[in-house]
Amino acid sequence: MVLSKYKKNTSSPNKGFSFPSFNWVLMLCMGILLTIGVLFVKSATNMRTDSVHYLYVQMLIKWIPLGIIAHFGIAFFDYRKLSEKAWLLYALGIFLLILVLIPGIGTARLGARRWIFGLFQPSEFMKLCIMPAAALLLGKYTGIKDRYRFGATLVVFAIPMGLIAIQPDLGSAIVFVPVCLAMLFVSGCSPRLLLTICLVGVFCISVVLALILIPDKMPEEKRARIESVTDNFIFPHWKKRVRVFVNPDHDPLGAGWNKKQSEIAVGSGGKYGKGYLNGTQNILGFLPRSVSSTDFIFSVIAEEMGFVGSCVLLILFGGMLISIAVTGIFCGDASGRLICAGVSALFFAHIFVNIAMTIGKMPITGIPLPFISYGGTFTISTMALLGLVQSVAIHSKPSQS
Amino acid sequence: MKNLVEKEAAAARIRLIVMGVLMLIGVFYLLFCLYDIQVKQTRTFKSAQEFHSLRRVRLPATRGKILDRNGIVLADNKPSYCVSIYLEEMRQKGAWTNTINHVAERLAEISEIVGVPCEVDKEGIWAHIRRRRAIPMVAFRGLDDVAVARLSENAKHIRGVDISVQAERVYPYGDLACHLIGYVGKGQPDNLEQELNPDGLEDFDAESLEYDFLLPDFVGKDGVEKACNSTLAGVGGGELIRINAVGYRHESYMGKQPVLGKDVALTIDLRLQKLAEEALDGVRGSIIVMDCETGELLVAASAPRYDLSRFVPTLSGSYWKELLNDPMRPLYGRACSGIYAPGSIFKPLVALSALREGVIDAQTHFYCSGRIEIGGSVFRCARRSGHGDINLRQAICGSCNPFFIIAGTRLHYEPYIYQDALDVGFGQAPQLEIPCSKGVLPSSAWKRRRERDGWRDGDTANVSMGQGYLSVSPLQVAVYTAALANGGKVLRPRLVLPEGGKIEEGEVLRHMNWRSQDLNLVKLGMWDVVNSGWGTGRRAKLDGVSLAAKTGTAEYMDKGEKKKNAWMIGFAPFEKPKYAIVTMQEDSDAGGLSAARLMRQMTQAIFLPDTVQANIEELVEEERSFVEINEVVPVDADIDLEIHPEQLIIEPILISEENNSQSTNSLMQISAPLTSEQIDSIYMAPEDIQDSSETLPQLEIDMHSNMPPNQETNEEED
Repeated sequence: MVLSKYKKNTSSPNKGFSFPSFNWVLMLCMGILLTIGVLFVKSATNMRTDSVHYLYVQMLIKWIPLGIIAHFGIAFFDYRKLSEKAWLLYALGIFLLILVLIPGIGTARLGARRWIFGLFQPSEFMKLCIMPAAALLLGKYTGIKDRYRFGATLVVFAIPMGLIAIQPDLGSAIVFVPVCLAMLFVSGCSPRLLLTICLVGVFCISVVLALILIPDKMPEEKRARIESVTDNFIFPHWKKRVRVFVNPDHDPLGAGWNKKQSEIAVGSGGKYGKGYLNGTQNILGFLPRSVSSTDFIFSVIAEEMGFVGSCVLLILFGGMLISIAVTGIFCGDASGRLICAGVSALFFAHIFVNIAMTIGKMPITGIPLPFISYGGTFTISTMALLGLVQSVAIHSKPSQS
Repeated sequence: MKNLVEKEAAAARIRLIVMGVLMLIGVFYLLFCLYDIQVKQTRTFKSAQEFHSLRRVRLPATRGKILDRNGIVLADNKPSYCVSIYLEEMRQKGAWTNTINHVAERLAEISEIVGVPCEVDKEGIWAHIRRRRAIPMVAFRGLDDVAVARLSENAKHIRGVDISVQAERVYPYGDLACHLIGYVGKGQPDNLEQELNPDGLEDFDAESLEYDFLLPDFVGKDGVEKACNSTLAGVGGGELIRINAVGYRHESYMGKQPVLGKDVALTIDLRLQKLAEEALDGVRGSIIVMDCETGELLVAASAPRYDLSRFVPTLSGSYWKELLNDPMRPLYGRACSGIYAPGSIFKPLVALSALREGVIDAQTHFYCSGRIEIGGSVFRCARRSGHGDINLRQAICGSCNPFFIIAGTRLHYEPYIYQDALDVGFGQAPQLEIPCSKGVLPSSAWKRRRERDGWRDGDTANVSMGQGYLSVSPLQVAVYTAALANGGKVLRPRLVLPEGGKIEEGEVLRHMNWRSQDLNLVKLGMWDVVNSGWGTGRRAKLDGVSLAAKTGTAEYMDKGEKKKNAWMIGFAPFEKPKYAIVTMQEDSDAGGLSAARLMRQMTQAIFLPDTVQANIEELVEEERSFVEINEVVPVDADIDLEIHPEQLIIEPILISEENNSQSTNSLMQISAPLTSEQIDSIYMAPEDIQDSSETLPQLEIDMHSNMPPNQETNEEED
């Protein structure tokens, strides 16, 4: 069997000296992606003369070393022991999310209270905290499937999502949705239930979209009345982004600008790109300067490296996602599988939404690209999440089949 | 059980594989999209980038005008052509020095074409590159049509050049009301965030919406320009411009129209303000005219002033230095920010507190010997020979220091005088639209903190005549004068008219706890100050204007030299006060001389508008020969505040016949005891007076009695 061959290659046969059986494909992908990340954070900020110019140095001396410590610390720690403390970790995550909402402790930047003392983003930490807890809830009592357990899972996800959404950081809150769906799916939730959840979700989204888009076609007076009601529960900037997505000329100076310029950047890259440090869209500041090193870094890469560069990047991401799934497939126990499912779904959501946004296939959301975008807590937490997957790879009992 | 676990594990693996496949499909979808954009459609995007570079340019809104109360424009805009350089369009390969040299050469070329020297040198270009590269650099300013035409004809080959029209601020009256109007300077528009984020989004990323080119904007730096900046500034708009390969504007797309700034109308009356400033020519001082009922400031003049027209479009460093180093301190807006000891103009407040608390009443007589000893220090009266036996009304009229020192020390400073002074607005900044000084209202706690010493009787004596630690601004004094005139309403002073243009009713901050009969008595004293032959403010008297006033001469030490500030407060018309007037002159003679001259000029400007243009010069002449005066010395008499103005526009004081004959003889005789009838009538409410007017003795107006023989012509007070 192909799968068992793979397993023999990855798990260490040496009993005397038990070198940890890392998932080496995953490790290699992570290393290459981090290197690309540092190189293009430098490229994105190369024209800046202020401290922003040295963001890549920050990545190199601060965030990546801290991420490596977190990665290996978690990798060598048995994820099953971690599962015993899962609720403690979950409670800590929720506590930090509440803490960040308190003015004075939580620092507001650009209108959203997302940082604790300006350096730590608890919403990123929560991504790490929720995996073992959800895996424990769904995986410990294998065989006992009842809808209450699935209901409990939905609650476990809904609490942090709600807390993150009121920061407000709707983009970060929404990436929990695919994680939840993937874990439910892998835990054996009946497809019919999943379908119901999805349909309810789609229904809610279409109601919201209808509320945003239909009034635009109405006469001004009626529109204003509906707007004033819907403003209470839909963030106005989300309305704007959806409108711009549907109709790019809606706000050519504001939100439409980013979308258009990002598309031009990617498209003008061509097959082979303009060369490293030569992306004119970025250099001349057409790409929004404040987010070219974070949310819009893919446009920089695509412009400078062309289609070839984008392909390499996507192959690396694809390889990473597949190897996480493979680790889950070869894992002997349910919670390990669930962790792998959750982590891969999270990464997939980040990668897909971010890249689709830069090429104008999705509304603009503030979701960064894992390992590539500049970010402190984000880099550490993504590396720690892969550490969790490595822990599954190292400590899981070899599967019988 | 084990089987079940195995079965489930197998099912989970299959589901994981399904997930993996789904994710791969997602990745392939992205690859497909990227292939479409980067390979198939790349030409479209490449040309979009190369041939049509779009730029976002912020369009500043035209600033609103500043008007006076009658709609005369005090601050306006005029168009001015600027040549801006888009540095990034001129970017040369290699080090920035190459670009700087290139730009400097081009600028020299343009300079030759337009015939105007360039405003920036190489240093300036470098500074601009470092600090605000994304903003076009304004290289030439204030060009005329001809130069612009020549430039667009001859500079086609230079890329990155843009001609823009900019609104430039104009102050047509130069230095008029400069401290009130303020001035503008270049700056980051303070409502930029609101403008970029009109919905007030919480998740707002200001920098990501930044304009590539932010045309320079002017923001208010001082005065009303600063205080009302958000109203005046309007909201800037935005424009998308396509720049072709040579850097010229190809087409532009108006994204958002700028919203014009709103005009701001001041309460100032241009004509009166001008006359007040002319009256203050050559001296340091201030004049305020305030509406007694609405709190509007018709005049708030300060001298010396600076020339606002030299502040725009850019303030030259040399002029600024000149202003900073001027010993006359022209930058200092004396009307609102100057603080001085009030001197005797504070005495009415002391009198009102003392009357209310019962320490004195209308008949209380104190003997003034010209000096008085309190707590070991000697205080002297302005009249060295002393006023003799004197009552309150006469004490106000003659500004007798010992009288108020005795009244004040009997009353005690705290809480009575202190509380009244605080209530009337001393010691706190008036809530005017522009920043004001708060002055100093001492208290025992304040003195302990500052001098580590307790409050002494000597301090009370000093404050009772408006000296000592007490210091007030002319604006605070205007509010106080208006409160005296309008029956105790402390008004919020207003400099800016609300939208719609009229202030119907003043904003009353507090009602003073003053009894109306006390107020009437004090007002009578203030009437005497101007209209009696020995009143300290008789030089302010003007036929046809019924003015009541109080003079003040505050002494201060300046580098060991004893100097005086002259004050005069007044309100008119006496019967139904309309305007409170404050005049103040720094480093002057007595309040009864220079401040009274200013007061007279102001009342003439307000009440006799037809005579004033001709009379300004005459007034000065009259002032010099102001020796002979024919006036009545009024005795304590009754006044009917409800008298119709047409009956008594000239002389509302009604003097009883029997006292009149005595009053002309000597000062000592003035203090003849009142009849019980007269006392009653003073302490009667106005409506009662009207009813009982028939029972009063026969009254007549005497305008031609002689001045008292012992009246000093060059009297000094305080």
